[in-house]
Amino acid sequence: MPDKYLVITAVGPDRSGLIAEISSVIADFGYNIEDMDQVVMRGIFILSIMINISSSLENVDKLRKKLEYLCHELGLEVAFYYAGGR
Amino acid sequence: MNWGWRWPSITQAEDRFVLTAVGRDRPGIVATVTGVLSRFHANILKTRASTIFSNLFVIIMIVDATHSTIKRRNLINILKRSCDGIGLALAVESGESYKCGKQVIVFDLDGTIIEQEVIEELAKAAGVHDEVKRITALAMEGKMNFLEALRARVRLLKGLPVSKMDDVRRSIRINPSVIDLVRRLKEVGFIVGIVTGGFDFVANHVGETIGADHVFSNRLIVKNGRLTGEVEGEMVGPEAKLKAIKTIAEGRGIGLQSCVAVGDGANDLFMIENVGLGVGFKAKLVVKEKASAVINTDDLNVLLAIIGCIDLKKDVLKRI
Repeated sequence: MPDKYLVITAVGPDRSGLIAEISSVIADFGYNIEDMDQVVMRGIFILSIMINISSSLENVDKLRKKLEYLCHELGLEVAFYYAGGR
Repeated sequence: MNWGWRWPSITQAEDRFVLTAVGRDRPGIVATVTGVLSRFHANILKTRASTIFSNLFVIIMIVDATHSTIKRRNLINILKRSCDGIGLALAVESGESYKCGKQVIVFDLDGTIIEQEVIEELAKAAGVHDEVKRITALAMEGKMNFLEALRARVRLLKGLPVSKMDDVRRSIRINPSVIDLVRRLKEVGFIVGIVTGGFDFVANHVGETIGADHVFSNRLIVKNGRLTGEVEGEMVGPEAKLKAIKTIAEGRGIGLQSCVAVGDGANDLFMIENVGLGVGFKAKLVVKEKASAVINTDDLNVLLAIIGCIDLKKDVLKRI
């Protein structure tokens, strides 16, 4: 069975510590980041992360909730995209 | 359409650096590295991270430490220790150094390419192991100059027959991943050298086996089938190691900034600090603290990634 992935994008005003906060939530859930791209564009932080969710599909919704809440606090817009089927 | 965006210029600001972290893929790597940066208010301007060679994870980041709460040197040392703690190799370079393509790589021999310390093996064969070990310890503690210590130890080997040297050479174990590593380095155009304070009869043999282009070592003098206890000509110590790299680089028409030096001991420090990228390979603490890159695994792919021999670097460079 092919692996399933969740792509997370987050956009908003830049400051130090954003990746640390987001990646530590992902690490707490035990999901593995397989690809990541980030840039600061005229002071705007843009992040995309691809995580492998095959190991624990049942916790994905909890992760989403947690990230939505966190990003709201950080002033970031967050979006999710499923790749490799749900 | 031109949105006017570009990668942050990494050559201008002194407080910017490029960080490469490589390790076995598993959850929590990004969290650890960015956790340190965040704790000291360093800002990440650009990230590219991906799984490579199917089981490794590599992170390349351009970091702006202008607003860091601690000195850059301390930040980097904390990064090194945190990465070391979770088995990640780390390289930190200026933008300029990162962009400069590396073309020459030199390796220390004893403790880096081979597992044994040849002088110790010779001492065992000559029955003067304890005495040699005592001098080695003095040199390690910095109580004796490297060349002086080497000369004193070689003197103790006087009278050792050539046949015993052959035995030692046959017992040398080359780190098995090195042969593959050198082949791949040469495939991508590297000039490969061995620069060692050790001895020619082993260094030349190892150089031939792994396919090194250059070997610089100390020459033991043999008369009537026995060691005389002397070394021929100018001895290879810390300064001569760097000089050897300069010679190789000049032959290629490039500068030291395009050279990589890999070593583990205090006598490698001088070359490690003066080339474009100095790599501490399973290194002593003093080397770990000063080297721009530290690696603590035999996995050759980690070294390849740390010195930038991966497609991901091309991807990063294109967008700087």
